[in-house]
Amino acid sequence: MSTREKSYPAGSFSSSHEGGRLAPAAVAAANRYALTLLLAMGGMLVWQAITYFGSIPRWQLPSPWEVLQVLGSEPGLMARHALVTAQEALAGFAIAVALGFALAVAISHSRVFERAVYPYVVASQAIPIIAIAPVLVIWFGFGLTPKIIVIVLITFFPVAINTVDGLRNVDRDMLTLMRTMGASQWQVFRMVKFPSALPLFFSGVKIAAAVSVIGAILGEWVGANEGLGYLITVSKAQFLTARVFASILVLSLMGIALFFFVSSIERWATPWARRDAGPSVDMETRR
Amino acid sequence: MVTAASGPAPQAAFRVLVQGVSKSYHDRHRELPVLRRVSLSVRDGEFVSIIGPSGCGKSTLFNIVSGVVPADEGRVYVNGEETRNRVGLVGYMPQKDLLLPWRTVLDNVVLGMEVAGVKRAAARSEAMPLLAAFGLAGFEGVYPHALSGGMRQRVAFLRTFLFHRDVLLLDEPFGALDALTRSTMHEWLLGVWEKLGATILFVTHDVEEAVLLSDRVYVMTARPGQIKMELGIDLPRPRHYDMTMSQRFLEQKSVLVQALRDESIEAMETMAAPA
Repeated sequence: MSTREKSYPAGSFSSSHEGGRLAPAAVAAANRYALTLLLAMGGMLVWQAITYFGSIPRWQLPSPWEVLQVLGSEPGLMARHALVTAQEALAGFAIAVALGFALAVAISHSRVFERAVYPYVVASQAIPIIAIAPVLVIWFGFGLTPKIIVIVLITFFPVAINTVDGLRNVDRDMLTLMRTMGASQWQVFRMVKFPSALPLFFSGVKIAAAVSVIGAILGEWVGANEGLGYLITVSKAQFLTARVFASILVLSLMGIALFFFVSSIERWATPWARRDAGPSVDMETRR
Repeated sequence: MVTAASGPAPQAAFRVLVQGVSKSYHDRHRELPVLRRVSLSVRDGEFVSIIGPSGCGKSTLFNIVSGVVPADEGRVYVNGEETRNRVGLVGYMPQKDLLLPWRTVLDNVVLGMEVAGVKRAAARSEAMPLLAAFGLAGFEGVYPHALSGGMRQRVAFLRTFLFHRDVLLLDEPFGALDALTRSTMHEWLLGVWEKLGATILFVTHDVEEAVLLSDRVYVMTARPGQIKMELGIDLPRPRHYDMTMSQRFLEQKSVLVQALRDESIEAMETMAAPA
């Protein structure tokens, strides 16, 4: 009795986990990513050395220092175009997540819908996006719309497929248990199917997050007058290679930021999946 | 036309009344009879066990009593009401604990109440004081993956209990536990049952467990399951583990073991025989 009370205080509630422990969390994060950062710095040094000692012309390979200088010398330009791309990526991503989730729910709850629509969901991925993107420009012009459509086409798929699998992998016995209690369809969905599918849903959303920035660039390449993809096309034509690299750097940072944003939502929404949540109890401590 | 009986219906005298229930499953090629004309009854406050060889249809019988699966033939009454297409009349504790991994201990035990429409806050405050009696005090905020097998079963039992039904169906609740934990759970269940006065229908294939816990024991045959024997256990209450060594306990146990062994042998032979 007393061991139990002593070793498992209120900290067993997941919510109290977050409070007041930011500093150690930051240290842990720093430890975790230290190697990653070290590797990046090492790579930059090698790159800098190659451009310094080698005889590669700067329009072919600018030094990392020059790339960073672009960010410093043209912050307004970079920010303006980055903002456009970020807008496209976020809008497309949000629509894709909503659409993917809705499709998955409909597919897993209706046989008719599944038979009618599921093959098209799969077939949509066989379309070479790069081939239909020009058509979208013809239809919708140079604005946001064609880019968002391209992003949605690419990213709704991992969300839909993973969520369908998640909703299907529900423990049958749990559904039976809910039926013995007289649960309604909606209760079964809310209390069992949805939480059970959440981890796979988030896997899909994380893929979508990483890919949505790529979709935005693809859309911009085909026809745009702003955005980082547009900036890359223009800068390439002027042999402003350092600016091309700077744009790529900003783009990857955007993708990474979106990914980590989704990851943190996932951690918040699925606290049971964190193995460190709450104390673990084994038989020995019970006796 | 059979008219409803005037005067007290026979089913009103029992918490659970199973009358001539048969059930078969079909696959594409053949029919697999699972239960054949099973009849049994449980009175108010009684602890009744069903033992039988594995695969004798015990779990199917429970699914029929709880209203999840319809019987092909026969009737089932719970508290005098027929359960055909009626769910939620009994508290059902399945073989697996089936705790929802995304719910804490506290939110798992209130699941049945929530399904019944009780607000979560109200359900939680009703459940909190009971955690101690179920040996779960201090664990309300813990997720199931962190619990031992015995604790998980107690959570599942508390969930069943908080569903507030007079009749509890327990399907081999201790089957997956090690012997030591199981014996602790037996004494604990006896204590809880004597305090709560619930009516329990219990499925097991452990003879000792059945004798120790029950007022009456039904023995089922190998598939298709039929009631082969009914035995009243006349050991005094309250029961204790020491009784498992008593002469009377061993006598009653051996009667059941003998009946069950005949069945198991038959079951093996049926399985070995070409279909």
